[in-house]
Amino acid sequence: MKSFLTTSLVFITALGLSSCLSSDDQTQPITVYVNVENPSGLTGVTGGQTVTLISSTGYNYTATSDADGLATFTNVIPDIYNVSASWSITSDQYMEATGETVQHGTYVLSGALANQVLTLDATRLSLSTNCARKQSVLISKVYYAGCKDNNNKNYLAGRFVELYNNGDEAIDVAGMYLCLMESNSTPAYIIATQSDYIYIKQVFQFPDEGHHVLQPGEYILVTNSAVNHTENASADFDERNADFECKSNASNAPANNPATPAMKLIWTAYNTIPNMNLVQGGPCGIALVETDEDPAQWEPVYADGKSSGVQQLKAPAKFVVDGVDILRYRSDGTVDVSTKRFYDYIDAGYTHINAVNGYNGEVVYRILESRTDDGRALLKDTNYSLDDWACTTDINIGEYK
Amino acid sequence: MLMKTPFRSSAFHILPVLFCLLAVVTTPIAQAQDHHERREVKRIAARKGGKSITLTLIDHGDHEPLIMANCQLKPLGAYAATGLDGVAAFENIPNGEWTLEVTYVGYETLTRTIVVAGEDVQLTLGMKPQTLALRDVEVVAKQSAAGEATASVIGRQAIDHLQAFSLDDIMQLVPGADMKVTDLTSQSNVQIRTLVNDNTNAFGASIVMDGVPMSNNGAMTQGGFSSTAFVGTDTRQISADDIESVEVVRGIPSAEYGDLTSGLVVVHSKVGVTPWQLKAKINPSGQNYSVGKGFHTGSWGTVNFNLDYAQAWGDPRQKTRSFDRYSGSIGWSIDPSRRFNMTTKVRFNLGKDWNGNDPDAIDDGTYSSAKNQTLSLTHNGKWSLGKPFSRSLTYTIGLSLNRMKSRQSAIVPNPSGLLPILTSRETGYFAVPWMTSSYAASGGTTSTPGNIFLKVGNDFFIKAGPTRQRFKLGADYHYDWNNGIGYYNDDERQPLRPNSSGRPRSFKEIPGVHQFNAFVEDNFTWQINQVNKLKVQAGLRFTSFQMFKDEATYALSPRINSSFTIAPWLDLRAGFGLNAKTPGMDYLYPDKKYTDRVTANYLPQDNPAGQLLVYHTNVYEVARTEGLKNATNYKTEVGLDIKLPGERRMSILAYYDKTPTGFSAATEYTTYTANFYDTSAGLTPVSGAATLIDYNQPARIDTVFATTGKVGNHSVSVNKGIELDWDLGKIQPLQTSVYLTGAYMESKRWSKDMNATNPTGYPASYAQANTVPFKIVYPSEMNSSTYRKFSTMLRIVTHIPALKMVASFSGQAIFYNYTHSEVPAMDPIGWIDTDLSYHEITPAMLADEGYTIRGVSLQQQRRKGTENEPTKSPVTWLVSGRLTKELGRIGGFSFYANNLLYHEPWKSTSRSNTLTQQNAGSFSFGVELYFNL
Repeated sequence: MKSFLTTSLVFITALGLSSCLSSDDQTQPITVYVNVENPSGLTGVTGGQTVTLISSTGYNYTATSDADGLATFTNVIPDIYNVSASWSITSDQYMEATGETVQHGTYVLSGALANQVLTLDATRLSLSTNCARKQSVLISKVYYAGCKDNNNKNYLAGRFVELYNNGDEAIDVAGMYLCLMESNSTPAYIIATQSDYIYIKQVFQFPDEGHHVLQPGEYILVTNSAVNHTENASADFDERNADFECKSNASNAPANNPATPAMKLIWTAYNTIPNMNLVQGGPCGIALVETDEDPAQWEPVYADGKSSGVQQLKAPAKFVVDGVDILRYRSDGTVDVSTKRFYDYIDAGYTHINAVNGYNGEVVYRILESRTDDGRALLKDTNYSLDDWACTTDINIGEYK
Repeated sequence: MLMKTPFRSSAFHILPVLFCLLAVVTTPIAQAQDHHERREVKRIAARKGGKSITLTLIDHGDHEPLIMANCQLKPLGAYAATGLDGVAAFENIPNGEWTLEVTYVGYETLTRTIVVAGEDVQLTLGMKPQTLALRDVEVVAKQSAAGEATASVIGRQAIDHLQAFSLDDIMQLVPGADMKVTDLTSQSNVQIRTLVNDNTNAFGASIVMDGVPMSNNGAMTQGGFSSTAFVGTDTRQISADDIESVEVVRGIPSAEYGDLTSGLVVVHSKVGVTPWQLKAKINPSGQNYSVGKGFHTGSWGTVNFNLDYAQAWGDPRQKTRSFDRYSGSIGWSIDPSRRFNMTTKVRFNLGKDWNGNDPDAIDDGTYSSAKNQTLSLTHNGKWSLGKPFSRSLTYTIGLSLNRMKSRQSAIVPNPSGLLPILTSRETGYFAVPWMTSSYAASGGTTSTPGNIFLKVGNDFFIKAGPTRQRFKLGADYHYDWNNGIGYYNDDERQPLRPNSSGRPRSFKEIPGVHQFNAFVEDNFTWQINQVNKLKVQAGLRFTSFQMFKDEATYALSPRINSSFTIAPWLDLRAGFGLNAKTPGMDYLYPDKKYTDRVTANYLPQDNPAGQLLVYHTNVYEVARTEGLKNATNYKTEVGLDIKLPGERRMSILAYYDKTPTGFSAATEYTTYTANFYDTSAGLTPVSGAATLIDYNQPARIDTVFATTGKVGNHSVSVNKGIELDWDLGKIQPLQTSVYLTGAYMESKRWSKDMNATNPTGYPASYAQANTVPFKIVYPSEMNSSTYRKFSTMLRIVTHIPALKMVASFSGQAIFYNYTHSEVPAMDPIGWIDTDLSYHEITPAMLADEGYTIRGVSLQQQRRKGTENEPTKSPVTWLVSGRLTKELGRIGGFSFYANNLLYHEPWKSTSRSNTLTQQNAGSFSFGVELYFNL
């Protein structure tokens, strides 16, 4: 009887307390307004753009902007959202909007805002956008994680970078530069404080021998070791047909294939590492650069605020043809967005593998957007890697999905 | 080829026989001499006017005589041991007031003032067994007296109360040392008055066990100099249950002790008649059991033995590592005459480390284990001659034989998929095999260091007016060797370390090292008047190492400790001394330096038969490190000892220790040329067959820098601080004593080695060829690391004799914990060309914006310095409690809990917002049961 009374008393008290809760404290859907702004100097192309809100907990909304550039989202659950918009215009539309005369092609306008807290008190956002020429040659895969070999030991020899001709015309990559971004645990520069330069740790130049002219739908594979790695690590790749090899005669370097043409090393921050220094746990940003300047003459600098340590090359960002920002995945399942190396006009998003230290065999890859009538893959290119890229252990070289 | 020292092998076989002979032969000789000397001493005493003191020692309770008790008359240094009848005699003692100190295992130390005034003195003294029923117990470290080396003396009761497993645990009672959790699963060395685990400091901490130093001069490590290799004596190997007392000398040691830099730990093991003692200690990370007994065997003296077993596994949640220790000792003490006493002790120790996979994990056969076996002998003899210039003669013989075997089974990783197997031990070009994937390998290292120690000493005193002088003279000789086969692979085709640091080296080829030392010391006391007294301990020690060889080192180390009694309540103390640590075999005879580089790397995937990998190996042999000196340490101290009312006392001491010649790897370059071959020159591929190589047709000739592997004296360390030891007295109604110890310590480290490195910003072609155009040199001694700490330890000891119980609470607070790495701006001062010529860089060159060296911009080499903010940790504290209770005379139990409030807060440092757990892993508890049967 005593215990029944006690239980009843607790229950009634709990009921009373819960009835005191105000209904205003409960989660209510909100209406969100996103104002899509044109890049400066570009007018008359606003309206009709698809804007997306994606939360890390799975909420996903889309809305179309009106003639004033305002996209309205109704019944949105308050949460933390990544906001993005991306659309293409033709070169004629570009010339009309800017008054500039440019080469024929497609131009992409894109913008993104990461980790925006949307609540009852915060429902209006301005989304600034950038405009970049849609490139034909794109970075399509980066395998930097490495994997475990057949004895369950770390294996890194098969890491590669793949480029893909996403356009309609043949592209000659000879003379272009493949650059690896600096990968300090604390970024060597903060993108919020400048917008003109990126810091890179290695520069390789494509030679004018071998497979350097890419037909539409063709890829180029650049590796450190063009051998069949599946013999050592079944989770790795057979790269005997790689197009170029970053060669090294250092004692700890992987095997080089004499039949594979060498990438030309232009500059390296690490005197003992003349091949690609892909960091298995990330960060591992990659930039494809085209310039008439000699990168070896660019200024080597220490990390901002430092006067010792490793020097990086301070490279003008305007020469970047394509870039993918690859960040480090943290043990708490998050990514530190403040460590981004690329400006929004190069890559407004980022991608990553799902392991802290790598060695899990994952490849980050550009997603297939569509296929042409003849089956040629067209890869997604919105300058927003969160949308454009994904990662998997189930993809092969030259495979797109 | 190095000469093998012939003495090594012969000494090995002869010495055990010598020891047995010595024991047998000296007994009748000593007895015969005893009769003769008795008559002689009486005659001398009559002639010189000296008197005799005869004392009979008995047990306070049952009045049984105590046999083989050590009796000392201070400050004369006169020594005697009790015989079968419990009687000891001092002869030829001048008139005056002397202090008699009697020690005996299991008994309270007895101290009496004896006045000799023209008459012989006869005394009967009762000694009290150590028990918690006594009024005074010592469960904390005691400070040494002023005028002697600054030391902490830790007695048996303190060791019991601490429930120490090993000597490592005991060291936490020293002022400035932090509380620690017992962990036998990792090696531990002695670090005295330092905040950073320093290589030279550990190597230079001397542990003296029953008069014999535990030498580490024969210990070897594989490969070149390593700042992280374990070089100190492993203190967890020394069982705590066989220890009677420990003296930790933090200051300037007596000239009697040497081959050290940082400090000295003098361990006295149990000798004498004791009851059966059984002890069992257990806590979540380990257990320790021991049994011991001291027998009286009639005219054959007393025999002691102790057997000890300890097992530890560290974190009880993990089953990936363990440590087992089996130790045993047997001691024999005999006094063939009243004047001659010998103690011999033989010890055996086996320590086994194991690291492996968790039982729940996939068993891939990988593990690592280490087995350390030691057989040692110490033999001490004291001959009380009573002659004017030889009161007592002492000698010590020590022998130690060690066998350290480490084994490892591992999967050698191969992340690059191309792992050359480099085995060449000569300079040249070699086509080498290679592995493309990881592989299983096994092997190990066997090191068998041995050591012989011989020492003789003579004590006498001079009394002149109000002064007393006690002189100590002596000499000792050490010989260290190592007969181990060194590192080995079970299969040379699949080596454990398939790279440059994995070349086997037999330790047998390394010459043994000889050391001869001599010392003299005067302990001077001048009672100026009723109040003022001057005490000076002045000594000089001569150290010679590898005498008469090119690599010989010599040192002369003056040492002085002094105190002056200004007032009855105030002593002023000051001291200065030099200590020298000899380099040891590992530093004096470093391994050859192997530098390997790719010469031809042709691995066509479509022609496996044509695959070729050629390496050039360059061998640089530093046969002996010329110019290597002893690590010399300078110690300076000044302090106050204050006697406060109510038997309270306080000691404050400031110290400054500098070791300007610590051991470190030296930056010394050699250059050589190595060819490179490819298909453009030198290599001729043949379809389906081996590729041809023409060594006379290189595609490129590279000039390569390599370090020589030399060891130098470039590490500089400074430790300074203030130590406080405050006995706040006893609160009688609560039967509680309060002690406060504390220390402010600062340690600073830097290097005076040549500060040379690769330049920055040189063309990528060098990186492709794996060469550097030159070395750039910066000023030395500018980068440094500084550590500071201020900590206190408050100990509250409640002792209730009626309950035979003592409880203590210790509260440790670290108020200030600071680290700072200083990297100032600096300009290069020179560069080293590939012909090793040195070129100075002038201010004019630095001012020239366009100045280049080998095409490399000089401006790029200027360093602006790094603004490293110091890191300051927040205040941390923790409390531990201990309880010891005797259960009648049969035994008792103890219990302890470390961090008993489980205070493990998460806090951030001044430089980082990242939260770190304070006192992590410090919560522990344990219990001990002991029986005296």
